[in-house]
Amino acid sequence: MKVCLALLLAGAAILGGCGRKDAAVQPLRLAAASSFRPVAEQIGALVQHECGVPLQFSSGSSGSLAVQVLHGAPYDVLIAAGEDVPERLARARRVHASASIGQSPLVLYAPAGIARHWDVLALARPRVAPYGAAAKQALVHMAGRPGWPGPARRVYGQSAAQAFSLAASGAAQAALAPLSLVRAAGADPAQWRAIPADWYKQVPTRALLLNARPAARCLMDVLQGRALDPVLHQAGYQRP
Amino acid sequence: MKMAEVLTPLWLSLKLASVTTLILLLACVPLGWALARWRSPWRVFAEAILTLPLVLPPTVLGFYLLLLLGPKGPLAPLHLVFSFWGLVAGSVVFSLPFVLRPVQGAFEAIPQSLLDSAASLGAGPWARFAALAIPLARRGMASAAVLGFAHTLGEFGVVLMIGGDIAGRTRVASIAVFDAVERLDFATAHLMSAILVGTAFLILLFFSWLNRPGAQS
Repeated sequence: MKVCLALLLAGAAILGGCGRKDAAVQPLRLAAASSFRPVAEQIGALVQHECGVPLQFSSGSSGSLAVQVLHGAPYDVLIAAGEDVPERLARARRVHASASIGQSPLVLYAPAGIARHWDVLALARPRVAPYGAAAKQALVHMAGRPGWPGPARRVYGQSAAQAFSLAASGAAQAALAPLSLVRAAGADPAQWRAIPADWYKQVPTRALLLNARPAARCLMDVLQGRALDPVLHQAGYQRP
Repeated sequence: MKMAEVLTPLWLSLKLASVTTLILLLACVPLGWALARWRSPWRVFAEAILTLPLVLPPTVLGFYLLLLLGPKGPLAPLHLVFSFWGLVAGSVVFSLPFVLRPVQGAFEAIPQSLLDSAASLGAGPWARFAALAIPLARRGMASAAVLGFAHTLGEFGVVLMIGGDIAGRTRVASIAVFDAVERLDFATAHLMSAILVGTAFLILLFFSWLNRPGAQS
């Protein structure tokens, strides 16, 4: 009985502390496609300086983040890869404004070095991740081409980042992933190879304003501003 | 590695598990007592419904909770989805059988003759419940609390579906480990996993100690 009483008291104490954080400054909530994660990780200080509000971000596939937004997730800005998500959210009247950020090209990444054949190749799930759809298109062109790997067993990640981590951890021997993730991992140039741009539909990255509060508009300005150029360039993004 | 990235999700998990366990204990003690005393053919149906979360895939539960709590769901005015209290609501449903079953079992183990004797000595229904049944079922209740706490601490599917992955708000430890692995931050993933493994071990040790042979019932 004492155990139960102790638990009840601990729970009551925690309940008492639950409301305190709400009174603090509301942070900016950025939902970022996993390909944009390396950039989102680096802009916290810049956003804090420009907008005076701390930045918190979540990442995942653009498709799954869009589902969260449609179900009421309280994000201020969504960075989406591909064209489907911006269109779907605009149709649902969830977008106040949008801006092009640029695009990160699709690359073939192999930690052990580019080879002619692998047993297991990772890619993001095409139905929820635009880079997965791009990878699927690229594989069609790759098949049978001299100098490109032959058929391999495909494994799927829920996002581009998960597909990339499957290869980086050694579970798969190679992955088709955005350059931003490859650069963020500090990969050697011998470990990746760019996919020809005409082998897949390009994956544009867009910032979608979901909340019209001033701090969120400020975040949109930061994302479009020149101050972000070095970070985007370092991450392998090509500005529009 | 930023310590806030490790400590905030762990604190959130601890808070979620504690609040959930508290609510479940408050709900399951009277519910368990009622079920233990209920003599009706409908009892098996009630038990089956209340035990469903034990066997349902978390994604199924998360999906229906998302529809129920989402902007077009009947419980939308509560604004629970993607909030801490939404996680609490989901966890209460998900962990319900883990608390209810041991509590009910503890009440069922009380000999009917004891309750009859108390009644013959003038103890009313409330007195039999509060002064006799609860003290006798205390070990079962403690075990239920430990199980409910541990189960909530390890949740992933339900909290991801109805909470998303919002830092400081719904990013609990299990999701933070997944995040860290996805971004190849294995140091953070290792540290958080080690803390969770240690916590789980201590909880199970405590559970075994509560149920050790020869412990006072």
